[in-house]
Amino acid sequence: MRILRLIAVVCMLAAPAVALADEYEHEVERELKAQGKQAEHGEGAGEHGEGAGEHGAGHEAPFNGKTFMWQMLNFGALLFLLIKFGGPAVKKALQARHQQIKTDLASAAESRAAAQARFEHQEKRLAALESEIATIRAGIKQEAEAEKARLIAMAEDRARRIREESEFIIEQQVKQAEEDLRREVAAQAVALAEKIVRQQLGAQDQARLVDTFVGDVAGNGAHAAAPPAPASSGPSGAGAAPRSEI
Amino acid sequence: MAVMGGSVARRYARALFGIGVDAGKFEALGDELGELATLWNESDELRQALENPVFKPAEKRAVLERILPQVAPTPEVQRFVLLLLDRRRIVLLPAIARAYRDLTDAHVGRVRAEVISAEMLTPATLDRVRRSLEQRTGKKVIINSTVNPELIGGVVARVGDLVLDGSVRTQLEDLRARLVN
Repeated sequence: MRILRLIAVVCMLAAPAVALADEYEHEVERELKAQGKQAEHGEGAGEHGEGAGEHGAGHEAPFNGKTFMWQMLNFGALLFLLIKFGGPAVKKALQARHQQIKTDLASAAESRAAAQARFEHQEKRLAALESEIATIRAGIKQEAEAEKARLIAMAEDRARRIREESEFIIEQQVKQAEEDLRREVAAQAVALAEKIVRQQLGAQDQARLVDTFVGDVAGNGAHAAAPPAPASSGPSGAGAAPRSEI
Repeated sequence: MAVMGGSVARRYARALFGIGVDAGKFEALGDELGELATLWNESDELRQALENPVFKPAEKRAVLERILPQVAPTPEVQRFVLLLLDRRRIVLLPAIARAYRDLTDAHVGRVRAEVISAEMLTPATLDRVRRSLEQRTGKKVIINSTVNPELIGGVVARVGDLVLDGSVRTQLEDLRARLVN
């Protein structure tokens, strides 16, 4: 709507200019036609024509004040319209552009400040890098020492357990060997005793053993006689004490 | 199975023993039963004839009826053995005889002792051993003597669950145990 109104105003203001332009065109047309007639006449007359041509080329249009006034009015109207309707938009665009540039400048300033801060931070860090490296190195060394101590303790503990287990196994094997040896010695001793008893046991000894058995059974056989010592006292000395087993 | 057989044998033995006590001839019945058990143990033919299912029950009964009058003239024992055959318990005859013997021994206050010696004992020595065992148990003792040279010397007497061991073998085993420990 606003655009239509603008177009209508422009048309109204442009109407005189159009009329003036038409009048000017008619005037120019007439002048061109006059020049055309003079040119045809010149071809027939020879040099006279050339002279006329020079006359035509040196003709200048006279200053027309009315036209100038219309032109100025037209220009003023155009200027008014531009200022009236285009001014705010241009102003708004310029303000937006101004604001944009301002924002960009602020952003650039912030970026610059941040970059500067990072730069300063890196500078400080670079300055503290030596001490940081020393700290890291000390930490690594400390951890290595702790790990070393832990591994040594673990190895010592394992060695201790292995030693204890070995000692236990050796002790058990020694006990087993002692027991086996005792059994073997006992078996050998008993076998030897049996051999001697079998060789030396006579009828009287058998009778004495039976007598002892009878006497012990009759006397309830409650006492436990000492075991025989075949090598020294012989079979006859074997107290054949009856034993009660249920 | 053996436990069950022993239980069944004791029941049959108690039944026959009751009859024998009532009739006042339980000792005679026991003797005849013992002789039948001995015959059963020693005669493979008799066992085969009475155990083999190929033979019919009537045939088995006929065999027993021919043997029984010679071995066991008492009618109670004859009827008892034929009853065992009818009830298919004839294989329990030795166990029944043992149970009957135990019942008889208990009834008359008598125990049986197994005496094992390294050498054969003389009757006089056995008599001394028997008297000592009677003195120990307070009952009349019947001795069954056997020889086992492995004893080396001395005597072992077994009366029921009681074992009286006076052998050199056992003393040597005691010596071995003491040396080991």
